[in-house]
Amino acid sequence: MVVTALDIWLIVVVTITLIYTVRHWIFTFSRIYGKQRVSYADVQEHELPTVSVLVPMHNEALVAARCMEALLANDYPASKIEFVAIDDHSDDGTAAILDPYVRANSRVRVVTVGGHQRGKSIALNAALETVQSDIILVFDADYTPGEGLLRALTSAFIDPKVGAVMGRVVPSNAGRNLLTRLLAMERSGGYQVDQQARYNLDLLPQYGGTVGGFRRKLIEDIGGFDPFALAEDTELTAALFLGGSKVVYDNRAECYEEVPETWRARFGQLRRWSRGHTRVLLRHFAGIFKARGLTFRQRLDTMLLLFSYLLSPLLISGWLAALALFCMGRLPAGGGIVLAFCVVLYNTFGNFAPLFQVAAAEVLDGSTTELRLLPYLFFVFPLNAWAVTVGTIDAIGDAFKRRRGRWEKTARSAPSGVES
Amino acid sequence: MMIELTAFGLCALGIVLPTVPGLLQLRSPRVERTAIDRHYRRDPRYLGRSFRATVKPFLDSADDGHVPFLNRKDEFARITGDLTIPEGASFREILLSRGTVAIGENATMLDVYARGKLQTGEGSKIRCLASDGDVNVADRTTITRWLDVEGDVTIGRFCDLGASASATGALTITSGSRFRRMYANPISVSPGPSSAPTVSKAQSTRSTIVVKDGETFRGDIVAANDVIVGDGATVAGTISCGGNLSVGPAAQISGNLISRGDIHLGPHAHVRGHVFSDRRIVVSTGASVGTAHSPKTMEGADAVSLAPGTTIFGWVICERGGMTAGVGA
Repeated sequence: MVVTALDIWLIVVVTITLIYTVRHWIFTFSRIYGKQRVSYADVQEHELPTVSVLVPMHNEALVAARCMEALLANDYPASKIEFVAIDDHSDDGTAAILDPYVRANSRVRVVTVGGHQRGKSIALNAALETVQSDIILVFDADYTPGEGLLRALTSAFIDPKVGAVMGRVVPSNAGRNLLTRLLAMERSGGYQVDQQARYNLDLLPQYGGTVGGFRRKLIEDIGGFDPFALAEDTELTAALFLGGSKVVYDNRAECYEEVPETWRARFGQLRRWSRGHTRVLLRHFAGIFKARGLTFRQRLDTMLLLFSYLLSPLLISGWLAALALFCMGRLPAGGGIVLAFCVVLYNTFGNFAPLFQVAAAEVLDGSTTELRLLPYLFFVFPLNAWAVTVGTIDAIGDAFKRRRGRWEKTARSAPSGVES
Repeated sequence: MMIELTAFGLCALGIVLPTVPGLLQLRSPRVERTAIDRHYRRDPRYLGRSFRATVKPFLDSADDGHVPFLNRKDEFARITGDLTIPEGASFREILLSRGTVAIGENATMLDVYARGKLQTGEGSKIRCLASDGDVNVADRTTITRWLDVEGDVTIGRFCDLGASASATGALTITSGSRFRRMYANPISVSPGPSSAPTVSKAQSTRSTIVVKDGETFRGDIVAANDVIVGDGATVAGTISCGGNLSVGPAAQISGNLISRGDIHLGPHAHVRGHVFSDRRIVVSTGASVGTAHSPKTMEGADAVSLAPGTTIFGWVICERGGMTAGVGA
């Protein structure tokens, strides 16, 4: 009985992994060989909408000035833009760093988050109460947007179907150590291939919570961000898409960010993403079937996207099932192959940023020698899988205990200066 | 036992070997990063402006003659005053003129810059062309990279404009020419006999949204399928649809047109906003896009066809190659 159950479970795991494998193949082929969809990057527009740029900051003394300098150097018409730095309970002197910018520039404001709760959603909600602009752009404080980026992101809103826009994120500190180099490759696969392919195929590119924006009216219509969301970006993406709006991905709207430089920080980041993402899944799963105007393909891919963080615990359970069968001496005929199949599937294809997708992205970016590091992603996957699994368990615990997750900010490093 | 050990060894080797190039890469001081130009601002005339910025100090400081260009070993520049290139000549130098330039028929050139007026000969082939005066591009001229003009530019028949053609003033193009990007205020297709595809009146289905002939609709139209705007109708807003979009003769659109399918602009239709299609854009005789005070972008992913007598204020883009329709085109 137990053996049969384990056998069946193993087959389920392999089948689901295969579905994700095919999905990633489709994405990679779409990006390399498919027709690339027209973005709005070349819009020459003189009648621009009003924009508020929100920058949530919790203890961002290391990066706040650099971010503000970069934002203020943009080419958006001064009369149509304001910058709102959101001081979310900082106690490291962030407010003092922002002060000269407020005094020197009438377009810069600081909103201070009150109360005892903190977190990105709470900070954004506090700022949204104070803005009147048509379009809201959001940047994390470790981002350094280029001069033309705000205009590029805003141009997508010429289409009334577009509810949100997302640009491409590029690590500025890629050269710091092995982890940052591997994360740079993962980011490349995630944006250059995965996001662009989803846009090409009219699926659901994800609004990533930074280097992107949305219509103010739409966020007001859904009552603002869930104050306890840990993945407010995925939450907004799902809400907009299931509500009939489109998310546009602009691969040419690039911006530097910092990626975590320590394994601990990376573990914490992934755990938070997984916890928040799974929470969104639990909240919006039924909506995938109820939403009007979506094609079967769009519903299927949205479901696969929301389920993506469950893949790691699923695979770990598959490994354990295979191990149990092996120890019981009941691994089915060809069981070694099944086990190898599971391992190879996971390590080659099954993760959120699979190896061949990363490889395709690196080639498109012209980083062909960096491709030599690709096998090292093999060793990162167990850490990723573990962090994601812990996050998933957190989310399920949150749901059962009606617990509210706590926002854990990813640790910053000193600016690397490579992006100038 | 030996077989097991060999199998284990091979497996271990299979895991370790792929990491060896990575070890070398880790030891290398060179880390490849995706570089972002943080000073980049979208500029349809970027190529011409950056070229001028490069040659200006060179042209200001050097005397007339044959000189190495930017210390490149294999590239030389000829600096001159007014110049006439004879018919059939082949230049392997970059030509920088402080005056006017007249290029003879079937001449082959690399980069040409003129501070004054410039005239190309029929059938000439030029890599890059920049001028601070007016330019006349003769029939069957091929520009392999780009063309940028500070004044007005006139393009003859059956020309190929390369990756980009831009002008500060007006760009007038004749039938049968190919382009990928054109920017000017305005771009006009010379009136004349046309072999432009005849656009038959679009047929509606149950899922088609139709703005009837002569009707006025206020607000945006967002549709999953086709949209038809009737003859002489007015839409005071933007149209965004998942199917084909047909705008009838003399119709007026005050917003943008965005379609996942084809866009057909009927004769003398006017669109004040941008025009974006994931497939084809066909613009009929007398139709116009944008205004002199508010230039716009027209972009078709697969094809853009401009009939004689059309006027576009701003940017026309078709990375797969656009065409001006005309006799023999």
